[in-house]
Amino acid sequence: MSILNKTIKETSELLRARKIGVVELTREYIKKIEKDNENINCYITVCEKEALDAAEKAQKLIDEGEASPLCGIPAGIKDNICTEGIRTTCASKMLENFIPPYSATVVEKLLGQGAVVLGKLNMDEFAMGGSSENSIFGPVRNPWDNTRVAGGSSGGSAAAVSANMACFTLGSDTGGSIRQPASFCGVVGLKPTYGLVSRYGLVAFASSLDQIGPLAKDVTDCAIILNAIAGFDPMDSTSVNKEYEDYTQDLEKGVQGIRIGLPKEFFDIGLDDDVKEAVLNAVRQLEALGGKAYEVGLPSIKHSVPAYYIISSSEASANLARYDGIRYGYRSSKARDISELYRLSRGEGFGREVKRRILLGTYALSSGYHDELYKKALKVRRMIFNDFNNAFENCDVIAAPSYPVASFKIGENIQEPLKMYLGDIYTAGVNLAGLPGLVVPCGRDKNGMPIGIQLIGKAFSEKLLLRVGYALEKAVGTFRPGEGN
Amino acid sequence: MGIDIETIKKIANLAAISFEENELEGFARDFDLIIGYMEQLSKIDTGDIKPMEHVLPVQNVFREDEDTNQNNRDELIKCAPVSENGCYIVPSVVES
Repeated sequence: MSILNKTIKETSELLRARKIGVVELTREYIKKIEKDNENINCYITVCEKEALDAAEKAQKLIDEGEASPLCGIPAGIKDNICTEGIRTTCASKMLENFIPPYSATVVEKLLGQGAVVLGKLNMDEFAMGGSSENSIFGPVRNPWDNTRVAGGSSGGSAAAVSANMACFTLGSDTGGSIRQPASFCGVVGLKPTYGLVSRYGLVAFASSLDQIGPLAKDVTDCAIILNAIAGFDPMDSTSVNKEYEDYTQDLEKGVQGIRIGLPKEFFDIGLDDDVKEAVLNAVRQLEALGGKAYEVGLPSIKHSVPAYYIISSSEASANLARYDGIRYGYRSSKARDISELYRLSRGEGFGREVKRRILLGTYALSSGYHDELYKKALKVRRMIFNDFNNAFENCDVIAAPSYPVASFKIGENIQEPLKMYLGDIYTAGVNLAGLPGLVVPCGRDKNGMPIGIQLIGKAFSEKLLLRVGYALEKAVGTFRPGEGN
Repeated sequence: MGIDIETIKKIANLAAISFEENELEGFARDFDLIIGYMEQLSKIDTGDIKPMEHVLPVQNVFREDEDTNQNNRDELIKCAPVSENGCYIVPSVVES
């Protein structure tokens, strides 16, 4: 089996046993990226020199007996997470040439552990989209079937792990942007509880919903990465100061007696038969291991998509007001006065979907619609939050689909924005309520495309989620393209 | 309510985004559909539920008034598409 197939844990053991060196390992990954990126298009920027420099340093750390499990492990970073000296584009013309003068806290943490950053990963522009087609660098292709999307907005992050073009990656999730592509590409993806992972250095989309999280080959790796990136950060005013936890600690404790809630609203209508069957089959596997499944209700969840789009777009319209063509980012050369400079720089620099969201948010916040749309959406948000709290009185985790279908074709939905938005029905509510969501591959559909089950937990219950995910993974196995499982 | 080209122009002006004339019709059509869907919110009975801006009790975070960052003005100015003598350049805003 190729070294590129190996998990963080396995690779780390090989590095420590001197079966391979970090520089050699990094070169293997770069060779793989050079070979396959033209097709998969998951990388926007490959930083070979920086990666090889970091590899040499990591090798020294390993030689000195450094214990960090991420030391020497090659990783990819979604291109909305700032990396000092390495351009961070958000897949937008607006930031095409932006080189951040600082790194995000999560990047500092990974580098501090000796991880090797291979490059920056493709995505939907400013993380707005569910297919990674809204990118000035072209769509990401799904490694399982190149005619299909990799999901989005962290499509590059999911595809890179699935195609062995990084050992692990970081993505961001505002309404499902880690979980849905993880499901589409057959990898494990975690959207942590809001406030667990610092957002400092993440290019803001919707600040009350955004979270950075890991995408990995298996649940254990996911826990290892979370150990590295979680924790209080004074640079993020919404970062939660809580005690350090070792997320790998409980993985093997099993699911005996764990109560699994099945929201009836999620399995009623609009769900593809193959996805439904795969998710319910996964729940049966957990039951066979000692878990207990119960039906629960989330009566307001049906309103999560409109509430999510009003709130996230409103926040985006405020956050993206900073792009003025002056301090950084794209600047129109046609402007004759200051007002034109703003309007033309933004009109030329933002792509279609980003403009649509800014307009939607501006509309929802404008006089006459503020109460009817924005304020109402915030009330619905609390109803959804309360629904989850009520449901968790009768269960420990909620099992749900990640997306209504296993995947779709490139170009299939891009002309129908509303259809694309409706796909977020299983994921967006989790962000509105600030909860953690873990996607673990659990089956394949009639086209052979992977399907991931979404496990939703109470706030800060990542340890339990990962434990349930681990038990499931042991029961159903991991899913890699070309392995024919 | 119907979203027409004039509404799009008005919102685009508020958002300070220029549009090509030929983009407007498609935008208005998509927007009409999207807003039409979102308007289901106004029909939901939310009773006396309070709006929820944030899941956490967000408050101002203060720190001691001490220098923490070095002066990285030159580095920040380097990010600007146009600059001169350490200053950002904007078109004239005062009529001469």
